[in-house]
Amino acid sequence: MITTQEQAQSLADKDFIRYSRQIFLPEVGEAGQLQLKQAHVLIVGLGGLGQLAAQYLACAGVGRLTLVDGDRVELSNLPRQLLFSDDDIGHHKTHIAKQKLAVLAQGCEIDAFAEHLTIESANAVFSNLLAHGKEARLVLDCTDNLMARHCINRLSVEHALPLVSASIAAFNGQLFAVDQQRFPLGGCYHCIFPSDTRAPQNCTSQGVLGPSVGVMASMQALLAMQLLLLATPPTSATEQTVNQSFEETCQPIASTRSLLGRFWRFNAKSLQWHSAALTRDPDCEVCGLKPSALMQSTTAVSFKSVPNRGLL
Amino acid sequence: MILIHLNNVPQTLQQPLSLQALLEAQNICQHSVALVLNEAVVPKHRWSSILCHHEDRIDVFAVVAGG
Ligand SMILES: [Zn+2]
Repeated sequence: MITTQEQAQSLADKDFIRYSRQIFLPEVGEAGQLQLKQAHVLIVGLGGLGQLAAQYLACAGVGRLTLVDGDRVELSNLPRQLLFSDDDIGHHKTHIAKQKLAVLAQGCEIDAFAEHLTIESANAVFSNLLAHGKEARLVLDCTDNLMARHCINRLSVEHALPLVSASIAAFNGQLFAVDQQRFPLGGCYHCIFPSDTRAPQNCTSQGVLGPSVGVMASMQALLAMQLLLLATPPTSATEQTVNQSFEETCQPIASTRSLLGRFWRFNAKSLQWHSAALTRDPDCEVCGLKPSALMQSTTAVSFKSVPNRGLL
Repeated sequence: MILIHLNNVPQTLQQPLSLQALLEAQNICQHSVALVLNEAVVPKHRWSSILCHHEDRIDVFAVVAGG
């Protein structure tokens, strides 16, 4: 059934069984599962959001994760950060997560950085992310403060990487995905929350219920998986004709248009979701000035004459 | 008279206000909120140049940064 050429790019029998519930989805298939295996996701922040998103992605067959967090496990983390237990208190979250994910998902390569992401530490993290050949790459923002969120946004724009960002405090969750290459009109985090934005309260002092964090982390992981599956059209769909549109041939889970450049809010009290279209701010100081990686796109041409203000 | 829906609450405006003037009139601190007008986020730079129209649906919400 499988030609010699395709054999190198097929799953081992055991993996086929392990991931069968995903592969049975026509939107995934064996080709989609291989795409996940060839993907590399950077997860910044291993709190309630990051620890769950990391488990979903590793166990779903994502080939490589880079985990970044300088925090150690604390007693007050345990009601919602289910990857950690009492024995882990005092240890670096990234080290514990790497150990536990290695048991849960043996096929997943994990790189851990036990430090907070700052402009200074970002070089090593992003060199690691960009070092491994032609993987599909994606960044998850799971941090807990505005400064880190602005830093991650800036770096994602700079390196032209798709960013999926989730947040939760008290009963309010927010989620969005932006990608300067696939959908530049969606803008970036800075377009919606400029640098002078202040959080109304100190988020670390606000309470939260574990499952509401889990809802946001699950949505974030689901969004990330769909974007990875949509990164390149599945190659196994050979029986489809070339003339059909992408939507018709690949039966994508959702079109990138409905996933990228959207902003979702979740009310964890009423369990209601609201979504809105993101709009690029032409004056945005982060994505308004295109990095050199994007200069080949037509929308970036008009920015060539603008003096480089420096993105970092 | 202009009828708008601000965070799902109907409000009447005696005269057309810009989005920015609307927030000022409501005593909403502009530094901690984002604004969605008819299901599209409006970047802050444009709040002063967009006027409220009849039947506009405006959602104003605070940034959430926790995780
Ligand atoms: Zn921007």
